[in-house]
Amino acid sequence: MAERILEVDNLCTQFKTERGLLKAIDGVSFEVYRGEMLGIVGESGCGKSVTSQSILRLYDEKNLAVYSGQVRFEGQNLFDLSQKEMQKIRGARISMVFQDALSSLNPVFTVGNQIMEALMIHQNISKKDAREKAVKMLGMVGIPDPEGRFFQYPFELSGGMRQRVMIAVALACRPDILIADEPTTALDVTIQAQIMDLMVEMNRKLDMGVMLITHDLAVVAETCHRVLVMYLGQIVEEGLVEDIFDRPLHPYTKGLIASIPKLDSQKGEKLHQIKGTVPVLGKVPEGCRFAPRCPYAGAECRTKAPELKKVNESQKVRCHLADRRADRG
Amino acid sequence: MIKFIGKRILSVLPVLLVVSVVIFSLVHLVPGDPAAAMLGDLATEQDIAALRARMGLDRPLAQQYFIWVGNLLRGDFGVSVVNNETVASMIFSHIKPTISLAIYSLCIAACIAVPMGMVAARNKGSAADHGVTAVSLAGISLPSFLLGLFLMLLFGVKLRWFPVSGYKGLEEGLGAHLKSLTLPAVALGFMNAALMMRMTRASMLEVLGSDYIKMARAKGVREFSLMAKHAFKNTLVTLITVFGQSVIQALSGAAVVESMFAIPGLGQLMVNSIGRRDYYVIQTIVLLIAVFNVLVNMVVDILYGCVDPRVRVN
Repeated sequence: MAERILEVDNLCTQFKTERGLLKAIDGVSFEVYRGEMLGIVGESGCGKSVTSQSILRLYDEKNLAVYSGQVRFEGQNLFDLSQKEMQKIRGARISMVFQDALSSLNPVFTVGNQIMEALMIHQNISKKDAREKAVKMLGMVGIPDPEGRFFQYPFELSGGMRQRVMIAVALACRPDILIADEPTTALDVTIQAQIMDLMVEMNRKLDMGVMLITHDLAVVAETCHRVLVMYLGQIVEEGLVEDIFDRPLHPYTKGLIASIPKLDSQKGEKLHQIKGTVPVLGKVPEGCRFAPRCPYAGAECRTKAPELKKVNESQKVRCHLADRRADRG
Repeated sequence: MIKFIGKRILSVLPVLLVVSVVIFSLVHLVPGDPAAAMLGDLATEQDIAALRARMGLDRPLAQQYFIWVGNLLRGDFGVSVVNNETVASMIFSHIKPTISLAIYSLCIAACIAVPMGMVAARNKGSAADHGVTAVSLAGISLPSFLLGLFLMLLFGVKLRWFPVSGYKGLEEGLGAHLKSLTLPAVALGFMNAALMMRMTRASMLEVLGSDYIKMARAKGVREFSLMAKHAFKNTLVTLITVFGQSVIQALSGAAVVESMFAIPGLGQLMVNSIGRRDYYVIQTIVLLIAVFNVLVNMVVDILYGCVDPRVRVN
């Protein structure tokens, strides 16, 4: 079994708001293994991004966020570290790629400069070496004419190129973990495929754990090894990609999979959708959080909150009905 | 970049042309005859006619304009009708205190306002933030003459740290020079400081909420460099704009403060000249301020291009 590099244990993230503390993440636990690609899926507002940004402690802890639980990296709980120690981990050991590269790259610095900066913060190298390495990084992420592109500004590059630059920034220091927060959402389909290919290639080449956050199940099915399905700040199902797609146990997962448009469906046929919308954080339903939208919900579902339970070697699910099904068979 | 700067400089020329025409026309738009107005009610026909001939007012307008512009380009701004001194030398002797005062007040404003605005934005909602907001509100609401009076009373009369008024030139030593200018510089700079503080805070807040700051944090950039490098360079466009406005204001709007503190500057010269109807002097000062406005805006435009690569493109 591959080395376990990141353990998230009962992570809770609460935000201070005018109406008091709101729990955006409620007891999320999972692991990331070296060399794997872990997909995290769910609708908007389910806490995927908050989870990833909580791992790096990117939220303002003075005014905005309260974390609890543990995020263990190399046996160390990241929440025990000072901000200074945290800065040494960010970008060097755990890196992040964001959704929109145009707004995530600093508009007034050249792309080369932004890659160099990552190198010079974390590695004790000269400017000249950093420049050489940065050019190499640009080449590695598939940017043609890296020497020329080095001096360009983000706004002078195409969307796909910018995303590649952002990946180059994130990978410059060869991190152990790359968190990619919807890296392809802002791109058109052909570029999406290229960027995903690049992510898979880098995952193999650098032997790092990749957390791919997305709402695109097709991308997950094609690239990931394992997948976490999140709903309203909790993990509702976890398992190997094959298992989840072949035998989804949670009604929410089933709904998500059924919602993928199929090419062989009839024209005019309505696309599948999950009834209702994600409730706001202040109004988390009692019992199972998905119960109000679940077509199978029974009396128990509305009163008692289900636990995330292991149903087989690799699959976990948070559903009363799945339990029963597992008991029976 | 050179092309960009060249374009900016070229675009200023037509503006200067319009400015010169407008200022020239001012004289001729004023109802009545400038020569008669200058000499007053008791002047005889001959006196007025003589002055008209001396001022060249009897020639065609277009010719007058070209003569005037030609003289300007040679540095000849005319001769004061009051004391026969050349306007150039009058302005030259009065501009030094004004420039000193402007630089001093802008230094005070920028050195206080920019860091304070940044600190306020960094610690939004904290006591420091509320303090900065309150101070900047006070600065914007408090007219400079009132603040000047308070400063005189406190530091000049009560504490006796600075002279109540009066001006000492650079030739009397830098210390004495600065000492005589401190109170007026604070009075003049406080409003600019308030404005800069507000703008720094506002644009810093906007920048700090942006994705690229989050990204920079995620790649391990230290807190100081995050503020001083990543965020600061993005707020510069706003800061340059405000600073440019402040420069113009400090140089052209100091009349009240200069009169209050008895500083023989350009503002005072203008006020006095208006009182004396010293027409050439007023005209030249107005022209100077207008040209100065245009030039400062040109420099601001060029600086935009220096700090933001996106501006250079179109």
